[in-house]
Amino acid sequence: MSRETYELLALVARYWFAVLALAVVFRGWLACIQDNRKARLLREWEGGAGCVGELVLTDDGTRRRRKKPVKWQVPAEAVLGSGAAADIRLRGRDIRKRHIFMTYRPGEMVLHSVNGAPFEGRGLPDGTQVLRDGDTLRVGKMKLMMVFFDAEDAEREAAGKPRRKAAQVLPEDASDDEFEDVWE
Amino acid sequence: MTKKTVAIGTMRRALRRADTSLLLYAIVLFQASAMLLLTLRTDPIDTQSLILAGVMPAVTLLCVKGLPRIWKIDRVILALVLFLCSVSVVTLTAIARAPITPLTQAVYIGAGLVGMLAAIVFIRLFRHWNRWKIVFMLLSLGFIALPLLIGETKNGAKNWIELVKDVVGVQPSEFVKVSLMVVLAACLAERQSRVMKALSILFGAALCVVLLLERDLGALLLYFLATVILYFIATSNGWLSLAGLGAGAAGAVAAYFALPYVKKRVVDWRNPWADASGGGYQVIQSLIAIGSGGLIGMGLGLGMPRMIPLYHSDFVFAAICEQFGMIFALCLLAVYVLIIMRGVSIAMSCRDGFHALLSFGIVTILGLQTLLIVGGNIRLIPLTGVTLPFIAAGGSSMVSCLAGIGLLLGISSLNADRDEDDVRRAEWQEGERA
Repeated sequence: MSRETYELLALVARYWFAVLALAVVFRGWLACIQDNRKARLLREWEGGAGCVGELVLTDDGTRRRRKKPVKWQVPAEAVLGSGAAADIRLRGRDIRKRHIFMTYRPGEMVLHSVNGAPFEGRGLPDGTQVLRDGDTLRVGKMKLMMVFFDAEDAEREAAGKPRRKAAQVLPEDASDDEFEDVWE
Repeated sequence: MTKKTVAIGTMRRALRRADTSLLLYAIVLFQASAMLLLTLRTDPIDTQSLILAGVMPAVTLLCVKGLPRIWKIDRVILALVLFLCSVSVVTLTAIARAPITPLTQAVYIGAGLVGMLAAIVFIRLFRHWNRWKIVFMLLSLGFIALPLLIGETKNGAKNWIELVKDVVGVQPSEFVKVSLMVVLAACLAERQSRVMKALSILFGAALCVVLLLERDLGALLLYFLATVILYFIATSNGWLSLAGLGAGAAGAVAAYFALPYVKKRVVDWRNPWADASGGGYQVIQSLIAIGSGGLIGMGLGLGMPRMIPLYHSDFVFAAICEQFGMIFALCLLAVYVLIIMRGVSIAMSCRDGFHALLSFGIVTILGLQTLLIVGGNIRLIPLTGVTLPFIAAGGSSMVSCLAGIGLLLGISSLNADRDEDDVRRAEWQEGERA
């Protein structure tokens, strides 16, 4: 191809490249907006998304009768306290604004006291305080029971085995009879 | 239908991410048309460009369509990164003196994609990061200090290790920036440990001292800012972060008076026309190239980009402005912004501190690096020797940037897996109630 023809082509192609670049940005931006909206929806979803279990109030230190059970969903990392910034907010004079920092590790929730705030969980020989499925946490006058959503999976993980896949737990097209053992 | 069922149905729909077909076709069209145009530039036709015109779209389609079938990775980030990589190959084909330069870059991109796959697998399997952070720290410090012992000096900085003389070299600071983010994320994710926080700052400071000894000012600035920003994000400790920035600013002023080469950089930046054929030559040529490109550029393969020193590495952005024009260059910057936005969104969706901080750290490094080099090219800030991510010629930068993106994609796939598990669990609970 002659130099002149190439130059003509290159000059015309400039507009084509600019349009393609604008198209890439526009489509990328649109995808970002749509996906961010969906991601926010998932994050804000109340159905226990991101939570590993629940803390169920078994005794609040008063004689008050409750008609409904009181429980808090527990994320994999959470701060328990009475302050507005706490992920799990408990009311009580003897509960500090940031009382306990909790982190999940397979099979148990590890509890860290914030600046020496007192509480009682399951004490391990190395001095660590943890909560396993069904354990009771005493903080202030309250008693709370830890219930993990996937206690069986957590035990498997703690033993170094892989988690069951969600599909193994509930196949989309499975009837209850076919997977009786799973339901049990 | 109950309210709960409606919510679960909505969440299941929310798991499906945006359609990326049009984005992908636009990228593939760009790759094919640009390389075909460059094929016709010579007589007889350039076979290397012709092969790349077929290979680049094929690899892009394979990656963007194929990889999400294995892991639920973020397709948009992958597509946008591959677009930037293709701009790199196209620009280098158009402006490089030797045809080996774009070919080498294509090989580096191939190696980077392998690194990206390795990083995805690594982050998905790497669960006990807490135990390994000290090992990572020591390895990173050892690796980055290696050029002081056996390194070569390039462009004033002793930050290169020649593996094969004049053929293959490695720049450790490029790789260590990824491990810096891993270590900082691992240390700062332990929110209650003051020792770990102190250790993370010490680690960042130690790396900066080594980089100062190597005279790698660009990487030093990058590491320093990334450490301070990540520390602030992890701890929300504004005063200490501001104190860190203040200490950095004081260090910069001290360096200006104590180190002559720093002073020269700043003087050249403030008034490049005072020494137009010496220290200011690079910046002046860069500004001329950007100006002559105008809005839509001089045309691919036309113009005089080779007048700019280091047109294929440090000043590749100026060369792109000249070839493709300001509209295209602004679109490139917008692509970086989109990648950063999606990275932040991934960080916000993470279920644990380590992954959230790591995602945020990776996009922070990416954003800072782009800001530093583009700012240097347009004379917004003094020129620093960092590379434009995914575009500038160079193997170390390309492989490390793609490995960083691999970590980000791996984390996005973990998020998607967990979201799907949650929705399935909710469906299961709903089924039990019913």
